[in-house]
Amino acid sequence: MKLVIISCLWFGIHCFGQQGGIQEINEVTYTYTLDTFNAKNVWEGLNTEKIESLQANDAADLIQKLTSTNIRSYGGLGGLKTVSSRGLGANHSIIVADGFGINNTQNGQVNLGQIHADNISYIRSDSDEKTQFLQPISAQVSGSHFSLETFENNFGADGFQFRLQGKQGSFNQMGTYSAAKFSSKKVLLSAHGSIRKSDGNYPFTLTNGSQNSEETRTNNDYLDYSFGFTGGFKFGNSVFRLGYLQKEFDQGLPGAVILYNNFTDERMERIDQNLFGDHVFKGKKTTFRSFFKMNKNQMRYTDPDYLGQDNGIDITYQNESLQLGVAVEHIFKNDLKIHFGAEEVLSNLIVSDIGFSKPNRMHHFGIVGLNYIFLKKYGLTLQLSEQFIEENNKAGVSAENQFKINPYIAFSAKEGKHKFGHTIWYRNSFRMPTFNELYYNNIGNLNLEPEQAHQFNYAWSFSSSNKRKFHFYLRNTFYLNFVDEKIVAIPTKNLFTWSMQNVENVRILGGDLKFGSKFNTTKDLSFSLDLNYSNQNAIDISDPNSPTFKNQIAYMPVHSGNIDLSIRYKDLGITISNYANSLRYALNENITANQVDGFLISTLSSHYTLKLRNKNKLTFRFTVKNLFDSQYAVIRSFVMPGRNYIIVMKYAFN
Amino acid sequence: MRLIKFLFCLCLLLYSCGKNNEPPIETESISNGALVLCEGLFQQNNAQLSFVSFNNNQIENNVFLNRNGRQLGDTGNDIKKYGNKIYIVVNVSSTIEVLDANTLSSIKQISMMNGNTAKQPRAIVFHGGLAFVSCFDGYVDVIDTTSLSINSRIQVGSNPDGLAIANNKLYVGNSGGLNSPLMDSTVSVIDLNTLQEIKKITVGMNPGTIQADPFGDIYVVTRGNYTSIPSRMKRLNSVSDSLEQTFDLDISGISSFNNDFLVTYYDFTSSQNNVGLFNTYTEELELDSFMPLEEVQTLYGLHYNPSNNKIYISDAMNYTNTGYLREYDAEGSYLQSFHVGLNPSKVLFYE
Repeated sequence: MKLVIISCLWFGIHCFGQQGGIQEINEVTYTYTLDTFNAKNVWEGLNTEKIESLQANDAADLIQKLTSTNIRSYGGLGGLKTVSSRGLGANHSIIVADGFGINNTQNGQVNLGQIHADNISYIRSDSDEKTQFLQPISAQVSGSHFSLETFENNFGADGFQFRLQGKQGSFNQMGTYSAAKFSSKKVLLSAHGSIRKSDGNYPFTLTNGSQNSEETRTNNDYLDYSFGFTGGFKFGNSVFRLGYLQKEFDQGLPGAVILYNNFTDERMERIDQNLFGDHVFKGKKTTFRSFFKMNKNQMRYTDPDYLGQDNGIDITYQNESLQLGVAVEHIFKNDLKIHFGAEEVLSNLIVSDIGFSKPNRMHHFGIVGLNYIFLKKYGLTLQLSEQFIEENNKAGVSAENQFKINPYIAFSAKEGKHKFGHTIWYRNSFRMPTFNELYYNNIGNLNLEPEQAHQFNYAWSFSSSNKRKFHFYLRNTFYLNFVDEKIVAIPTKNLFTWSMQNVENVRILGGDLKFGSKFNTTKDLSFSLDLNYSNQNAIDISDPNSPTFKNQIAYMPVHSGNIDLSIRYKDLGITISNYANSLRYALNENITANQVDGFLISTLSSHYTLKLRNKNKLTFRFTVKNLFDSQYAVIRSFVMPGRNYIIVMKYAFN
Repeated sequence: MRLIKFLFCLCLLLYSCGKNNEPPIETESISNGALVLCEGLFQQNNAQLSFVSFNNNQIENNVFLNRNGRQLGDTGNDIKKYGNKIYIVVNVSSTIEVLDANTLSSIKQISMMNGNTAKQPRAIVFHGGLAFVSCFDGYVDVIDTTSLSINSRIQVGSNPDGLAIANNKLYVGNSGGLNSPLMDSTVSVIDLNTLQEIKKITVGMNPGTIQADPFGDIYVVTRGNYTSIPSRMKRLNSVSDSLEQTFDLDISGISSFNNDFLVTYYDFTSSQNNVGLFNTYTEELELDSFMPLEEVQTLYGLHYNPSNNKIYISDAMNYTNTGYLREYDAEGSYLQSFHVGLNPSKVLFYE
């Protein structure tokens, strides 16, 4: 049972924007892009204005606004939230912050619930056509990745900038964030810090058969704080950055709501330290980026009531990694460009539990590709990547080394002065089994093979002229993906003996519709409407004789989407955003007993900005989340909070 | 604005797709059939009872919910009848559900909490008006079957699991399963007169299932560590309370079959699970392959119904798909299957 509990904990235990967002991107040299058809599309991201209007708690609240994403949330501030893109599974997605991958070789997932939204100035999905050739190579070769940029790690407006924010909300939720940044044409200096806390004990209605009872979510308290410093220097055609970021977390783990036994006192403490830096050189024909990141992640898990040992469970996990990489882009002619790069990721895991392995991994990535534009309207991208993974277990048998080569090919076309575009691409990628999946006591399986993904994609898009009062963007994507040798935890021998196995093959046939619009009625009054709709038929095609053959896989909604409407009058803004999922199944067998109801969650947020003298601004925000007080769960037995409120006051200079 | 209204309606339509609850299926009174305890899966709150009627071969799933308007809970581990009551042990919910054996309506839910700590009950047996419940917190709880209250707790080994009674003594397999890889290796012997532990017998790593034979011997399955230490069946003498014999077979389950046992074991030669016939008088495996298992994906329980002289196998499939109760005649020939709930394990037969 211990193993089951821990496995559920860890395995468990998953466009847009405005011109301003793109301008912010262009301030940072490394986001230099090859693609002329899509990457500079003003709708392909959430910019600062949009992010602020959404009043997100964390990165997951923002990513769920992007098409083809599926957020798995276990509820509560800081609770586990993962993203899966286009049905591939969370471990196929990489999160890149300010050009540095957020890495976790222990469980392969990043908890989006612990990435603050307060300092995010831009976020986009690169699940679509790969265009950011100066990003980490590990992200470029992944099935999908999401890029975000923060206020403090990038050059900004000239001079001194300052942000100070206070937040108070339901369930004794509070947070503060402050950042100071000095930017000039030559220098960047910034420092920031934040604290978030919540009691997290929210009420919910427990439905048990025909009976309802009013309950309270307990052991859901949360505290985190973070601080960091970044320095940058521009010299000639070069830009250097060096930064340090530390985050600490202390949280209760409420676990699933178990009928008749709703007590838990499991806890998790975590310290995450990062030292990172890069150098970008941009010449006339060659752009070059080298980067590094050192990460140390210490996690302590305790359960004093665990029945296995006299003093319960108290285990510490230490996951360290070092990433080193280079990426180069060279222009031969205006219509022919090549890119290549390499990255090394060294990582290890040390666990205090008895008999645990001591795995080390050296993961090498290499990439080479070209981009050719012909007849001024067609673009062709060809790319090959290779990965070599060397495993070394210092306390037992090592998993097998792996070597893989993966192709990527894309073809683009534009029509009508860049307004109408087509893109078609194929990508082959894989994700390595994590340390937990390979080595965790009893559950781990040394014979696991990497999980393979094949993606076929076609998209068309149209954007109207943004010089008119009403302008809009429309994008329609169709895709067919296959995930082979999917890694899942299944019981073997009995329900007490779970093990990781390559047992599933999944086919995902899906489509997205993105509509974004803005209507500037007068200089003072504007409306915007954004709609995302995703249809994902992700079915099990493992075994024709299985009862789950061609059943929708667990927790994948067929229909999901957003509708966001914003009204802005002078310095006052109101946004109503809606997020919906159709029903899902808790297990792969599509029967009534496994159904998890669909939900529609609405958020109403308003903000007013008081512009003071000398570039001083004071912004007030009031947000009602889950406006209609829906009782819902994304994951069965993990209830989500009902209606709740957040008040924010933010002071900004420059 | 019309567009906005349309989009909201679309959203609501998606939301409404989630409402699709099946009406409960009522059957006639509970008789001549099998009441199947389906364990469900951890953290899914989906343990349930299925009733298979031998009169018309009809199946009613969610019997507990249908009769009582609420769920059974999380991870049902044992079900037994004593007197006119049925007792269901629900491990993760930490409850004993006591039902009227005729109507299956709830008489009492006994909470198995020790302060805030769940005792996690695992198995139940009866003797002299008392119920004995092994609890993972290292105790056997003694419940008065009249007042349905807990009289006392008897401390045993680590994570006690299987229970059997012989010679006026209760034998408790101390699995230590939650201490993996440092599991327990003992069977506690409790004197049923004094309700005190009188001895611990070292039997082998991770004792689980325990079964008494008609001759006063106790058979216990030591499950090993699932890797280097194999599963074995051990025989204990209930007079001397000593380990008498180890059977060199990878036995994982024991079920009564008239006066003998049907044992499930893994055959390394054929790489398959087998059901053998074990003669409790000669104390030897009489038939190493008693019945074919082609229809069975995951043998999760083996049960003999003396009323109709048939054998039933609980098939857990892949543990995440709903399972089957497979019916065989007394010679081991396959007859038919009944589709029941998730992870069927224990079965209670009705005449």
